Amino acid sequence: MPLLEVNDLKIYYEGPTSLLKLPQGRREYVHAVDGVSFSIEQGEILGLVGESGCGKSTTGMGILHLQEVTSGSVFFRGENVLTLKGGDLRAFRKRAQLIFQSTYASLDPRMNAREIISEPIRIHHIECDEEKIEEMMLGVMETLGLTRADLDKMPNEFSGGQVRRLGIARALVLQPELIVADEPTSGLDVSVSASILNLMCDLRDRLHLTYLWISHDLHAVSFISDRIAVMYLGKIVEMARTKELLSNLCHPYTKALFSAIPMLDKNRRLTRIILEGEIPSALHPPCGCRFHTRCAYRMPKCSEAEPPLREVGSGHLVRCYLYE
Amino acid sequence: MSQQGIEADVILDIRNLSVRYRTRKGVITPVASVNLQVHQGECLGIAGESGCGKSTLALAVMRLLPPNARITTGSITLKGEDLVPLSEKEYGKRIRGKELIMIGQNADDALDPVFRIRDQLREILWFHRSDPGKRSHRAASYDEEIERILSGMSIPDISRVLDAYPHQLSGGMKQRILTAMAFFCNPTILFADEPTTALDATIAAQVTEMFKSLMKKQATSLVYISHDIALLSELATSVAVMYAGEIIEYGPTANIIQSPLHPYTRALLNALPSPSKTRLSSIPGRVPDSANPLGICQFSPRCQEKGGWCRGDEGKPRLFEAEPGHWAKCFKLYDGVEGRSQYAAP
Repeated sequence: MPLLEVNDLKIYYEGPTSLLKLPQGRREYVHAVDGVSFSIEQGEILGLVGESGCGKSTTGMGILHLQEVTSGSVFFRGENVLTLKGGDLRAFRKRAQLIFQSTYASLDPRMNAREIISEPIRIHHIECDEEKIEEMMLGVMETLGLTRADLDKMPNEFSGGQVRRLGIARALVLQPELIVADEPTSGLDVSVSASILNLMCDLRDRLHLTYLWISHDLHAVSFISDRIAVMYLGKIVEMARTKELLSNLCHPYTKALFSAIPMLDKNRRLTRIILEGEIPSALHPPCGCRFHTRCAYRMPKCSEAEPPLREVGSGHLVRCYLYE
Repeated sequence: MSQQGIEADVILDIRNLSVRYRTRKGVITPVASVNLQVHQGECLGIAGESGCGKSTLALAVMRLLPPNARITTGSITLKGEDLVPLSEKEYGKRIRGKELIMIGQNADDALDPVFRIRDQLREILWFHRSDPGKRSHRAASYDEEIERILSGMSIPDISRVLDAYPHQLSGGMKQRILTAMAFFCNPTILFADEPTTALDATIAAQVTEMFKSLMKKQATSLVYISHDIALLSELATSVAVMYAGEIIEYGPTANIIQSPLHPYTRALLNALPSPSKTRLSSIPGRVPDSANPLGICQFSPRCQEKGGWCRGDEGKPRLFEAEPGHWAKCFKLYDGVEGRSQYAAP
């Protein structure tokens, strides 16, 4: 049984309403996540990539039940997370933690590191003895390369990389099984981001953690993930094991996306595919295949019906009519 | 970079440039004794991590430094004329916007939110006509030229874009308009400070391709500032790597990528994630506090390859030409090379 199983997850936001344009009672919806399904095995790292606005962060929030879900189900060890309430939900939150995208914003500027890291322990009533709490915190801090002296510092006294570590420490102190990491290395310098990536790899190996790694940094995702899912406008368009995906890019969007990233190694550079236009609005997503408005290989049927996710190799799924 | 090798096609020559900021925490030196030359028609990439002084260097040349900053030493020579002693009035009239132009990461800061794109482009053309006497004051007279230039820039749906206000356009489109504006003025040198960092991968690729094609068409030299070495490896003809306010390596792009000389450049390249690596090498420690310069090699506390030279008896290493045109600031390079250190630039 996979650790996490997401079935047909849909998250719609209510769009802007205009009294003049819409008849009363009709509302428009932003289709942020529109039928996403995947599963993650214990100890696996699934990378969720896509451009801004494709719904990858919303998916992560939906899985943790931090975001109202329109429909679909999320099974965590066989238990539907979305129906959980009260104490059961709190117990789930203890086992699945989020590393926030903007770490600074997620830390209370008036709490010191000690208060920030010990707060989850207190909330979940794991330990009341102050000495034991201190011990737990120091254990986590040590794994992350922070020192005892750092405990009394305020968030603004830390550097960018250390603040990320603080955010990771807060998530790890509960010893969760699943970690949803939302852009954990964005905005960091190369050398700092390298140390965070190494750290996350070590933690996975040592604590047997499972990650959903949400990022737009394709270099980092290809480095860390076991499997990669590519999202476009609320849908997964391609999903495969990292090696398989990188050696055999199928969906026209995936091809364009991977060809767009600059590569140091000339041999690995792909012929750049420049997409026409911009990402359409999620308020009125194109009918049929969501990508057909920008696709170089579009056929008449692409705008009529949406292609299904089809398996083209072992575990390699593609949502495109080219692979029928 | 060298004192001797002044070549004919050097258009911007920065010598021994230092910039100081007075802050509440004391005096900091984000740019310390930088020597740099920009050649005609080249794309010079400036790479480095945040806080290394790469943007400050460009701002100093553009004279856009904040009021608490000052150029303390050095000269900036554009086509044989030193820009440092020029009055602000003179600089604004002849240099900024005519010879030198800078575009930044955030196009929203550069575009006026209350005017249509068309009016902003007209203003640029009106303002930058070389002879004020020949300026046409009829706004519409510029439209033909605007559309002619934009049509060569792979901007779809030009008339819609021109009639839009900045907030109606996407980030990528705004950045492209800004780039177009900069090339409108036909500057001698364009400074681009991380123009694609805020954009998504596929949109960034569109803007990068636009830079490439404009570089081919015009004689403008480009100074491209970025933290992304992979991007510079595609775009730049030569690269300068900055660390803690100094240029620590400079040379042709291919040499920098394939055979970096400075330990910092090597560490930076090894830290880039790639699927073929199982582990990344990170650089231990932090960038030194620019309020307390070390007086020795700035990278030595973090350097994995430091030797006896680096302890500080010799002071700071100097830029040294280890291969023709490829310079680096590391003691290791002239370790054992007797009598060659006099070739190093001061």
